[in-house]
Amino acid sequence: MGRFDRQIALPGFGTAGQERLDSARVAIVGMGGLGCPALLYLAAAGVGFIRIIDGDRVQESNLNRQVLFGQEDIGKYKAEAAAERIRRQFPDVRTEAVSVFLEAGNASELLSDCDLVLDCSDTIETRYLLDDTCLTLGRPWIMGAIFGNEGMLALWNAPPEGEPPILYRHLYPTVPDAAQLPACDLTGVLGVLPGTIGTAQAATAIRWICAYGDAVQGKVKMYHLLDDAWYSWMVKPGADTQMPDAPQETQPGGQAVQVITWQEAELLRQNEAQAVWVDLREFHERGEEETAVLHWPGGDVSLRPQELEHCRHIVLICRSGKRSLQLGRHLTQQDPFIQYYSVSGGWDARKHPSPETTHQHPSET
Amino acid sequence: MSSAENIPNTCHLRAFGMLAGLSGLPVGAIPHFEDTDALRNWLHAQCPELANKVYALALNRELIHTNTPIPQGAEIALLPPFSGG
Repeated sequence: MGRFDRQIALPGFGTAGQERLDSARVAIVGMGGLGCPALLYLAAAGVGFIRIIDGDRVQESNLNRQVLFGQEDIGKYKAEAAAERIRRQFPDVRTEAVSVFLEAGNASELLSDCDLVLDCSDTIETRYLLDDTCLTLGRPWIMGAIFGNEGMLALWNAPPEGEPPILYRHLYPTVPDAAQLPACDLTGVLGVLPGTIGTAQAATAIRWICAYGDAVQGKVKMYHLLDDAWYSWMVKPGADTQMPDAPQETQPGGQAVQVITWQEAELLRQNEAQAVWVDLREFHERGEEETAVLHWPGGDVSLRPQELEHCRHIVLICRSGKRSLQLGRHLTQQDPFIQYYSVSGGWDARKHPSPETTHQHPSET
Repeated sequence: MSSAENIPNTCHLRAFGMLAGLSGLPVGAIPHFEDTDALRNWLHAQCPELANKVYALALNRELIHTNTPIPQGAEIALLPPFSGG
C-alpha cells in the first residue's frame, strides 16, 4: 500500500490529483502557529517541493501552537527545524529552508519559482508585500491570520480565466497602523486556533492545486474558536483601489535591520562604543530590570530618548522580538545610516540564548 | 438568516476581532438606516473609537466600497484586519 492510497481513492481526486500535488511548488511564509500545521499537511499530502521562509528562531513560548517544534529546538531557526522535521517524516518531499524574513528586496526571488504562496506570517507589512509581489508575479496566495480567539483566511489573486484578480488591497486599501494590530504575545492565543486556520490554508491549497472542490478567490472565511462558528463573505474589486506598479523597496541603498541573538547583543554592547540597548516594553510589561538599558515604551516617537541621537548601533528589545523588528524596519527607512538590530525572541528568550549566529543561506534537501 | 430579518425597521450587526470589544458599539439587532453612510455615522456616534479604526463593512455577506442602500433586515458585519500568526 502506498502512502497516498487513501486520498487517491477519493472520487474526483485520483492519480491526477496526486500527480498535481507531486509537481507543485509551494512557498510558506512564516513558520509559526499557522505555518506548522500548513506545512505538515501539505507535506503529508505529497506536495513535491516546499520552500519554508522565516528568519525567526524557536522560543519556549511558541511551543503551545508551533507543533513541529519541541524543547530541543529552542534557539534554532524555525525554517531549519521545520525542514529537518519534514525530512525525517516525509523524505520524498523536497524542502528548502530559508532563514530570513521576507522583504521587498528578496520577495520576488523567493516566490517567483513557486506556483502558490501561503501567508502564515504575523505582520501586516508582510501581507501587503505578498499582495503586491504575487500580483506582479501572477501567483495566487492564501492568507491566514488570527486575533485572540478568531481567525481569518482567504485565497487572493487566483482569477478564473478572463476575470480580474481579487486582492487583499481590495479589502483594506489603506495599510493600517501596526499599533492597531496587537500580536499574539499581547492578546494571547490557544494553539488550536492557528492549528485550525493553518490546516484550512493547507486544505485550500490542495483544492486549488488539484482543482478539487471550492477554491474561490476573494471568499473570506472567519472562524471563532469559542462558539465553533464559521462566517463567510465575498470581496469584490472596488473602483477606488489604488494598485502599486511594483513592490516598493523598503530600504533603497540602506541597510536592513539585523535580527540578532542575546549573545550577539552582548558582544555589540561590549565591543561597540556607539551601541546601546533600548527596551521597548511598556511599563506594565517590565519584569527584571536590566542596567544600562534605555527605555522607549512602545517605540512612541514622542518618547524617543535623546541619548539615541549619538548612537550608530541601536539594539531594540521588546517582549517577544516582534515589535522590535517592526520598529527597526520602520526606523531603518527613516535613517539608513544607523544600524538597527532586533533581538530575536526579546526578553522572553533571555533565558534561552541561541548558540547560533545571524542569518543563514537557503539549504535544500 | 439574520435574526432581525422578520423584525420591522431593524438590521443585525456583527463585529469581529478587536471591534467586538469596543465600548459602546452595539451588536445584534440595531435600527435600520437607509444607507451605509448613515449607518456608519450612527455607529461612530455610538462608539467614537470605531471612527479611528481600519475596518471593512460587509452587507449581506458582500464587501461594500461605496455608500450602498441597506435593505430591511440586512446582516451587516464590521471586519478589521488580523495580523497574528
